[in-house]
Amino acid sequence: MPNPKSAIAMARTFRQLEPLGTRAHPLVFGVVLFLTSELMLFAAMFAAYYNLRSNSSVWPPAGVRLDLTESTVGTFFLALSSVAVLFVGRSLNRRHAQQTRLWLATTIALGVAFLGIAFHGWSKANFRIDSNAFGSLFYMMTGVHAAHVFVGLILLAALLLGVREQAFVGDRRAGAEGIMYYWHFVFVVWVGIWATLYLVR
Amino acid sequence: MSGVSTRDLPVPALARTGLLSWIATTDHKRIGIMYMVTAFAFFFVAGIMAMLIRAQLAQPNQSIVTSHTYSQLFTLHGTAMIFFFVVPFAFGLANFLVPLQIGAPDMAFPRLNAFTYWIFLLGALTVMSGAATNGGAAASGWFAYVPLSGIKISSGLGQDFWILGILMASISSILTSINLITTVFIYRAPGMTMWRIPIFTWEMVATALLVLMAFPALTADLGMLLIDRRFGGHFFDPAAGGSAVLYQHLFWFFGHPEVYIMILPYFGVVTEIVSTFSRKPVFGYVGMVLAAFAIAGLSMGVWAHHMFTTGAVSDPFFSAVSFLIAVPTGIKFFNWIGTMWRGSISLTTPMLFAVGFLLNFLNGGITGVMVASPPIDFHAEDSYFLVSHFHYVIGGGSLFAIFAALFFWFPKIFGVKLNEYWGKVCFAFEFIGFNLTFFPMYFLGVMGMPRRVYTYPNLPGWGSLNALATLGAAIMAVGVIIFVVNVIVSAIRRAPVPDDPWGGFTLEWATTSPPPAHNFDRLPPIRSERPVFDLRQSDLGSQRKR
Repeated sequence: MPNPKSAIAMARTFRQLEPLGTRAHPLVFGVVLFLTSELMLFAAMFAAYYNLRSNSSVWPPAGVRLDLTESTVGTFFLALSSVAVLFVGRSLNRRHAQQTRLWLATTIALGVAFLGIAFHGWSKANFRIDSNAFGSLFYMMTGVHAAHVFVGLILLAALLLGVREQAFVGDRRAGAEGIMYYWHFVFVVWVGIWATLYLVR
Repeated sequence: MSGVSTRDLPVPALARTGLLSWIATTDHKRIGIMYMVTAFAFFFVAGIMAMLIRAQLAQPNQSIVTSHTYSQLFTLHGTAMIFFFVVPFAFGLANFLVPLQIGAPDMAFPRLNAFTYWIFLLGALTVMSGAATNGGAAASGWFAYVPLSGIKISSGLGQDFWILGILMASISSILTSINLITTVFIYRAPGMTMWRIPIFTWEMVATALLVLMAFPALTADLGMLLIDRRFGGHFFDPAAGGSAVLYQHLFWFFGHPEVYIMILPYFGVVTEIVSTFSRKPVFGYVGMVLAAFAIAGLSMGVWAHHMFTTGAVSDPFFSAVSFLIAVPTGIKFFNWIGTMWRGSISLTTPMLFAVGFLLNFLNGGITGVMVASPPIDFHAEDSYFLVSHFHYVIGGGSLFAIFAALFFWFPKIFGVKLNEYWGKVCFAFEFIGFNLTFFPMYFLGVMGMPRRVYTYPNLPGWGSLNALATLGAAIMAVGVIIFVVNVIVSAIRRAPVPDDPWGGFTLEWATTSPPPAHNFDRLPPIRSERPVFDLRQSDLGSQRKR
C-alpha cells in the first residue's frame, strides 16, 4: 500500500483496493456527469427553438438570410477537429509526446478555423439578437456554443503546454480524457445546432 | 475489529484553526457546516419576511407595508426559502454525511466543493442585495413569470440581481451534484456495495441526478430572460415571434423537479431516523430506493400541471402522470409505517419531528393529488389552497425533517447533544403553530382568497381565519427561538456525549463525534446496510463469550 499523503490519497488507496478497471477515474466520471447536464442546457434551447418555430406561421421571419455553404464548411472543420482529437488520445496511449503535440495543434487549428467562420457568419448576418425571436434564438444558440468551443480551445492549449511524461498516466491522463470527451461533445451538439438552424430552419 | 486502517493521515491545510481555516477549507465536514449555517441564516431572514407578511394579513384592509414592499417580501421569502435554505441545507447535510456514510475520507473534488459553497453564498447575497437598488428587490414572485419580470414592468436592477444570483446558485447546485454522484460511485469504502448504501445517500444520488437534469433548463430560461431584459431579445415577446408560455414551460421543467429536489433528501433523513428509533432495519430497503428513482423519473414529466389554466398544455397527460407520482410516494409511506410496525419505538425529539413530517407531508401530498386534477386546479390555482398545499409539503415536510436532522446529527457534527426536553417543547410549538398557520389557508383558498394580494376586504370568515394563521405563525416563531436558545445553551454546557448517542446503524456513527479530519481511524467491516449495528452485535457476542 503506498504511503498516503492526504485524505484524498487515502481515497485513491481505497480505489486501488477494488479490482482494477471496475471503477472509473473520478475526473472522467465527473466530466461525463457534467456533460449530461450540459446536454440538458442545449436541450432547453432546442426546445425553445422548436416551440417558437411551431407557434409561427412564417419561420424564419421574412428577410433572414442564412449562409448554408459557409456554415457547412465550419461544421466540416469542427468534424475534422473531433477526429483529430481521437488521434491525440491514441498518441497519449502510445506515450509519444511529439505526436501528441502535433495532433493537439491540429485539433486547435481546426477549432480556431471553426470559430473564425462563426465570427464571420455573425458579422455579415442581416439580423441581430434584438431583431426578432429567431434572431434571439440564433445568437443565443450559436453564442453559447461558441463560448463552449472557446473554453475547449483553452483546455486543449493547456493540454498542449503540459505534454510531458506525467501527461500519460494517472490524473493528468484522466484530465486529458475529460477534455477529449468535452471536445467530442462540443462537436456533436454543434451538428444538432447546425442542422436545426441551417437545414430544418 | 478488523477493517481498513486510515490512521495518521496528515491533512494539508492553509491553517488549522481560526477564521482562515474556515475560509480556506476543503474539508467536506466544514463545508457542510458552512452550508447548513448559511442556509439557517437565510431561514431566519426569510422567516422574518414571513412574519411581516402574516402581520400585514392579520386583519382586513391593513397597510403595515405597501403593496410594492409586500411583493418584494413574498418574492424574497419564496426565493430564500427554496434556493437559499431548503436546497442548500440538504446539500450541506449531504456534504457532511455522504462521505461518512460510505466510508470515504472526503468528497471526490474537495476544491470544487469549496467553490460551490462560495458561489452559492455570492448568489444568495446578490439576490438579497437587490433590495438596496433603486426600485427595490425583485417583486415578480419566486417563479418570475414574464411579462411581470420583463423590463417594462420590472425595470429596476433588483430583477437582474435576482436572475444573476439564481444563476450562480444553480451553477453551485449542478457542480455539487456532480461531486456527490462521483463521490458515491467512485469513493465507496471496500465492502460498501451499492445495495448497502444508506437510504439518505441513495436519496441524495436521486436528488443530484434530478439537479443535473432540471437545473440547466432554469439556466437557459433565466439566460433568455436576461437577454430579453437587457439585450433587446424577443424570446418571450409574442409581438416578435416569442412566447410568454415558453418561459413557463422552461421554468416548470426545472420547477417541478425542484419540488422533489427539496423533498427527496428529507425522505432520506426521515428514513434514517424512523429506522434508528424503531430499532429495526429499513422495511423494504430496495423498494425505498426504487421508489426514490421512480419519483425522480416521473417528476421530469409533470411540469405542465403548473400550467393547466394556460389552456396551452395537454391537461389529461400531465394530470395522469402527476397522479402516478402518488404510487411511489405511497410505497415510501408504506415502508415508513412498515419500519415502525412492531418496532421498539422511542419518541425522541428527532423521531417526533420525523412523525410530524409524516403527518404534514401526507396532508400536503393528498392536497397535491387534488390539485393535480384539472377541474379542482382550475378552482384552486393561485389561491390560498395552493399556498397551503406547498407549505405543507416544504414547510411541514422539509422544514420538519430539517429540525429532525439537526437534533439527530447535532451530536455527530459538533459533539454536543441538544437538550431533549426543550427539543420536545420546540416540536410542540412548531407542530401546533404550523398547522394553525396553514390549515385555515385551505378554507381561505376554497373561499376564493387569491395568493400574493397584500390586503383583502372584510369578507365573512376571512378576517378570523387570517388572524388564526398569523397566531400560528407567531407560535412557530417562538418555537424557532426556543430552538436557537437550545443550541446556545447546549453549546455552552457541552455535556459529554458518546460517539453514538442514539445507537445508530450507519457508518457515520462508527467514528468519533465530531469526526477527525480524515473521518475514520478504523473502518468496521461492511457486511450489510447497517455496519455499525453489525459491529455492536459482534461486540456483544464477544463479551458473552468472555
